[in-house]
This record gives sequence, C-alpha cells and structure tokens, in this order.
Amino acid sequence: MLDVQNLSMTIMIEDAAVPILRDVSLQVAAGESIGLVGESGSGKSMTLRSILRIEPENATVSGRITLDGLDVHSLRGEALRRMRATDVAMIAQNPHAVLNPVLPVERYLIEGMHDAQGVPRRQARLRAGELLEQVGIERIDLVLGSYPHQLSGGMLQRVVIAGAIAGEPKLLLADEPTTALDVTTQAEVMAILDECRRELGMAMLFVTHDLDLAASVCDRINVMKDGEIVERGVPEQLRDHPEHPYTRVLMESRPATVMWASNREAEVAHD
Amino acid sequence: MTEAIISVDQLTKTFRGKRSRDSVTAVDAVSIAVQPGTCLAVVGESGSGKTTLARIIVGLETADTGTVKLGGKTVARRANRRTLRARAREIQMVFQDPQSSLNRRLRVQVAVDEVLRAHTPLNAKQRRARCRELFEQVGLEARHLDAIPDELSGGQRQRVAIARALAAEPSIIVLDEAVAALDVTVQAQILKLLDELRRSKGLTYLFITHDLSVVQMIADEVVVMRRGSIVERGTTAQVLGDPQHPYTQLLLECAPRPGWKPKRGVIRALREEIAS
Repeated sequence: MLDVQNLSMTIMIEDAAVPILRDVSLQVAAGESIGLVGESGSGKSMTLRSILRIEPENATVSGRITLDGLDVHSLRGEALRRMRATDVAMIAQNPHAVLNPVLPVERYLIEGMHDAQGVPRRQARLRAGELLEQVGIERIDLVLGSYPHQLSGGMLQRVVIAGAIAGEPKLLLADEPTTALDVTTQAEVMAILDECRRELGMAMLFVTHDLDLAASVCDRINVMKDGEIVERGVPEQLRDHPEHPYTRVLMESRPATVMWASNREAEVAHD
Repeated sequence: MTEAIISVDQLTKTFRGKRSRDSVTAVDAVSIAVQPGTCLAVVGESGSGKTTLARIIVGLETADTGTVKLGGKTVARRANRRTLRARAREIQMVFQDPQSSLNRRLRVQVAVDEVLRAHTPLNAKQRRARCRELFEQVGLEARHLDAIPDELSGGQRQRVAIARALAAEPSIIVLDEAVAALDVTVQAQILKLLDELRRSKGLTYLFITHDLSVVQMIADEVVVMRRGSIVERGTTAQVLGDPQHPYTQLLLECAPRPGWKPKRGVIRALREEIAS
C-alpha cells in the first residue's frame, strides 16, 4: 500500500548540501505494522515527514513515494490536503504541539471529523465519546470538556490517538508517540495503540529509538543509521541473529534487563 | 559496616500552593543511607520526588524537616554561600541536559576552570594542565578544550559536565537523569565511563533515574520512589530480581525488553493492587 522507493534527501546548510536520507526503500502492506528504528540523526523522522510532504523547505528530495499507487510528490493543493486528512494520520511525540491550548479537547476531535470527513458536528460529538472509550478513557465527559493543560501527557496522547483513528485512515504514522511518557503510561498507550490498529485493520509505520518497543508491535523492523536502512527483518531475526554490526551495538547497549520479568516469563513457560 | 557517607533521615518537603489543596508533598519522610564507594539508584516516574530529594541533598532545595548528613557531618538545613561552597567540595551534581547546564557562549574548558578556581589553590598554568588531565579522564581530547557546547555532541557535552563535577574532587556525585537524554549507544559509553571513574577514584554515586535497565548497569542498591515515598529498597539483584511491592512489579512489567508485549490486563491488575 505504501511504497517508498530510493528516497534521498539533502538539506542545504550554509552552502553545503548535507545528505539526510540515502536511498531509503521500504514497503508497508495494508494492515501491516512496520518499525523504523534508529538513533538521533538517523533519518527516521525525516522519512516519515517525506510521506506527508512536510519535509523542511530547503530540502531537496528525490525518489518515489506512492500511496495505493498514487505518487505523493505529484499531489498539489486540494489533493494533497485530502491525502493528509483522510488516507494518513500522524501521531507525534508531543501532544501539546498537536492540540490547541485554548480549546477543549473535544473541539480537536469534532473539527477533525467534521472538516476531514464531513461528519455533522452533532454526530461527531457522539462519536468523540465513543473514540475516547476505545482508547481506554473512563471519565469521558470530563476529559472531553478539559483543556490540554488540565490533562496528563498519557491522557493527551490517548486523545491524539482517538483523533488519529477517527477517520479510519489506511495508514498511521507514529513518530516516537510514547517517548515523552512515563514507562508505565507508555506500556498502556502502546497496548491501546496496538489494539486499535489491529481492530480497525490499519497499517502503521512506527518510528522509535527503542528496538524492544518496536519489536512489541511491529511485524517487520528497519534499522536506520546515518540516513540509510542498514538492516531489516522480523523482530525475532534481529534479536537472535543481527547481521549488521550497528544492530548488534544497539542490542548490546541495553542488556536484557529486568531479571524478574524474564525469570517470571521462564516460569510461566515452564508451567 | 562502615559509616554511611550519605545519610538522610526523615526528610520531608512540601511545595505550598496558593490554596492548601494545591500543596504537594514532594518528599515524604524519606530516609536513605549510602555506603562510601557504592552507587545507590533512586528510581521513580515523574512526580515521584526523586529529583527534589537529590536537590535537597546537594543544597539546591531546603527541606521542611529531617536531616542530611554528608561524611558523618550534619549539613545546615538552610544553606548559605559559605556552607554551599564547602558542600560543593564534598558533593557535585550532573544534570540531564548539559546544553542548559553549560554556558553556550563560553569555551567548555572555562566551565571546568571556574570550578578549579573556586575550589583549588592552583594557578592559571596549573589549572590549564588540570583541565587537560580531566578531559583525558572523561575520554575527551585536548582539541575539545576550546570548543563551545554547540560544537560538541550530546555525549561529549555530558563528558564535559562530568569533568566539571570531578574538578572539585568531590567524594560524592549526584547524577540526575544524567544519561536520559542520550542515544542508547552513547548511554552505554557514558555509563561505562561513570562506572570506571567510580572504581578508580572511590566515588560514591546517587543515581537518579526513571529507567530500570540503566539501574542494572551501574547501581549496587536501589530505592523505588512513588509519590514522595520510598516503596521498596534493596540490592539491585533483590529489587530487579524479586520485587516485593506491586509498584516495583509494575515498573518492571512495563519496561520494554526482548520479546516483551504491553499487556493491559496485567497493568490494570497491578494498578488495582497498588491502589488497595
């Protein structure tokens, strides 16, 4: 469904062309979840931004990105807006940058559905409540009427997920959606994101620096370094037989921690 | 057992809001003891009080009640210029973001030189030589001495911050999320450096973190904090290998690891157990 072919990008910095992406190719089939894992500067977020055509202004991009056969770089004006509004949804790291601080969060959900899909406002309001239920929020009316500053980061990120799944897009683009959250909140939000995606059959491109986190929700993973994909494979394959030295370094930087959990899992498997 | 080099007894700190319901007890009757030459990790999520505890111990914050003893001596609860200066020779702090703790307009050796000037009798020439020596100890090269922070990577900047802490020749270093902002591969390098420095210099660390996987790489003992209180304490092997408190179990359950899946049911059950 999503096909990225030989995507390259350079950015002019003080008269020098700095390569950001080199020949990045990847495919996401309908309903599939694909991980893009790398450290800062690896180009993982830029790859994601290219898909939405929100790359920096001084960037030169080559290569081909197609979404259901449609060349994303040929889209202009209304067609581009429609693609961004209906086919794809993005979840960013910081929900405060997404939500308008002076409007209650229900406005974010309602306007999204009304503008993008033409859902009448009254109906959108009902649907907003259902969506919040879907992302595991209990006090729905309270949350709907709250302003962003009144809610925790985990709660806000759930609101953003609710907004993202509202239009049932074909593809979710998630850029480090849980990096700013506490670890216990991260686990809950990841579980919710994964459940919603599966139930609705949406594909996902999941960008993260955390290989284990990507492995928990992705069918296949691409490891990026310095603007290139250096290795790709299913999570188990990367974990047990990493081929590229960089993948190995990534794995070894965070030793298989948390003895209790692994012990307990071993016990459970034993029983 | 030798005498603890850091001994904190029944420390409490409440931040008062305009209305009483806005008040937050960030640290609530917390006691810890750290043996010389060891590393104690204080683990907690945001709002657990771990940073406030660290700031009280180094003297950046004043406790309401309780005592802090460093090297067997009780430190004044209300610090002034003179006592803080004396305390700085004993205890130094490294923060999460070296970009904001280093002056962006000054060459990084100036940051280290300032500490040498304040805490050692060295003359200008000796201080330059000492800077060079400290940079070498933290894995930086002489050419980095004249760099400004923007010319260095995040890992290099954190090495400068560590060199600056070492310049005062403290016996204790408080590391407040010192590797949290770094990429995992850089994180591993800095943790290795910290571990080596601790062993070679006999330093004591108070390691503040939200990240359990980091704890395993550096700490001898662990305390787990939640909402201002310590809920569990023990050796690293005990706490990570056989946690007793459901909150510690929740933290461990939620930490991504090879083969891990986020499980809503398990998380909910543990949360209910914590609430009860």
